Amino acid sequence: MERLSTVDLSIVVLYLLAMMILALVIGRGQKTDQDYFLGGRKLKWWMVGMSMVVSDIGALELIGVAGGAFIVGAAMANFDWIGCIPAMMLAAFIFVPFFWRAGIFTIPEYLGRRFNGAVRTTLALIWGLFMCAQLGAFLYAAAVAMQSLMGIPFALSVVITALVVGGYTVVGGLRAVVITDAIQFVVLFVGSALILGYGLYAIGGIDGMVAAIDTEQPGRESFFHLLLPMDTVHPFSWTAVLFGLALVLSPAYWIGNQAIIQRNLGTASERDAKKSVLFGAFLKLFIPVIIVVPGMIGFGLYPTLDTGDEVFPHLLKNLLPTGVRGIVFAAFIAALMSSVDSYLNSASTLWTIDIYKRLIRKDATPQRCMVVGKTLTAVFVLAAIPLAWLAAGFGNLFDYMQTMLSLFQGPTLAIILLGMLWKRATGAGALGGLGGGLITSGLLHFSANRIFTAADPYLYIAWWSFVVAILVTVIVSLATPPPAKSVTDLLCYRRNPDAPV
Amino acid sequence: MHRFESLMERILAPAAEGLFQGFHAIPMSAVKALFVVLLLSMTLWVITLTREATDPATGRRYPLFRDLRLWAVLILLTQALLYGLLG
Repeated sequence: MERLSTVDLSIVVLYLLAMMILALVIGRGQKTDQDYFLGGRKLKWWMVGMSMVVSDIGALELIGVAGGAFIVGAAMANFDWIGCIPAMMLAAFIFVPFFWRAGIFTIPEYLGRRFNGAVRTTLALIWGLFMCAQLGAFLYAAAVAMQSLMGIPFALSVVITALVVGGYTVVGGLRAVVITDAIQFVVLFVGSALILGYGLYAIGGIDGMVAAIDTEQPGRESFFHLLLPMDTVHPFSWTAVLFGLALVLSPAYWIGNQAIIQRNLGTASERDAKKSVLFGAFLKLFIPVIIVVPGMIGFGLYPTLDTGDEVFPHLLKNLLPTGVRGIVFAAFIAALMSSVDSYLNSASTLWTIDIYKRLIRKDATPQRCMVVGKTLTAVFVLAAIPLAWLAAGFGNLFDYMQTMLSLFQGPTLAIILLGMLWKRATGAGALGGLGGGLITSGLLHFSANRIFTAADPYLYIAWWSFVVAILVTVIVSLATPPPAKSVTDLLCYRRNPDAPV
Repeated sequence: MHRFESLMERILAPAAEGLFQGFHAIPMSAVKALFVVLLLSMTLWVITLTREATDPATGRRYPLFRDLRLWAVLILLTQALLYGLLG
């Protein structure tokens, strides 16, 4: 195996420099928290659509989903198809327009208005901590690739990535995040398509891939199917995909994930907000083709790799010629940067709007909030550096991220859904549901190997914590006084929001 | 911790096994049909969102290509087709 050539390295360095300069230019002239956290509400819908998708893909998905496809095959496409598109439709036509009209910065802010301050603070803390932990995983993913391809030591790779991405996110805010993400989407798409093209050429086309996989594992038809039977040993049986992924984790992600929703809130109009989500759903149709299929090709070409996470770097190093390899590595860096910048910006938004402005300094001006947001962004990226070593303890990075999400996404989705769609839901009910769901996911997580037959059963954990959170919220809500009509009239979904209350 | 895990196993494992056997009995062809029907149901729901057909600023109907429902329906039908073919 060889490392990147001077030409490839030059392409990567030039790309990083260009992104930093662009972000610095974009970041000039921002004066308020709305400029910094919502891009002044002037973001273009098509850029937001691209930004949503590239942030979702990230370096973890490039490595993790391609790695998963190496092991289980086409079923990994569920994460981008049934695990995204139906939820994005709900987001586009119900939730995102609603949040946009409410004029909020964060999801906990909406829940605080609908329920109470305790729900808002609890969720802001959970999301804020999760995002900081997640940053460590993103840095780890980048460092592994940089170490193996560029020969830069792991520790130095972590620090370089943190400083580059942290630097431009601190200065540029959400506007810089979205514009650089749109460029990164194009680079990522082209880079991944190049790996797909070279991979198909090397293996002899689709027929060659099928033949190579059949040679390695004769009769393994499931490798080419989206839906796997219940007795699969992987965590992707059809029940896990339907109940855990499609019905819980995916809606929770596209409706309740601050890092995703925040950029929709930065569009210029409600219609633009809808268009941005639909455009993202359209782009999602193509993602498995350029990420899952290369993972399957990798299995056909290099079946003896120790772990699935090695397949993407392996394809990159062994298939691509000089120059092209630099472009694809830049695409990998692009994916990484888009995840880190989104999570950084959203974490600082949560801590500034839901914690600092609400609990520490209620009279903070918009200018002051922007300064606090920038400071927190810098603090988070520095704090994420040691967390990169923690993430190294997980075998499959994608599983690590999904496991983390599964612990609280179910309860979060439950209270968002009930808060918006059921007027009788109360603050005490939401707090009880959140607590009940979190306890359930914690208990199931610790005793998973005794209860579930699948390995890494995070999709089931998400489903059952969601069910428990719904039940507890309903029971406690019915046992407590109903919320004020003035609150539910304004903050619950109505089929025709233009009609008078 | 070990005692706690044993307790959880005694309580939940039989229920988990029952659910497993129940879902395992469903043939994969029916599962595939279920996924396709879910996607088609969502397509029908999108079509019923009549408010989306009208521009709230002017009160006029959007031309077909500007109606966001059209694009949503095309995306969902593509999904249904993919699950029908590859499920």
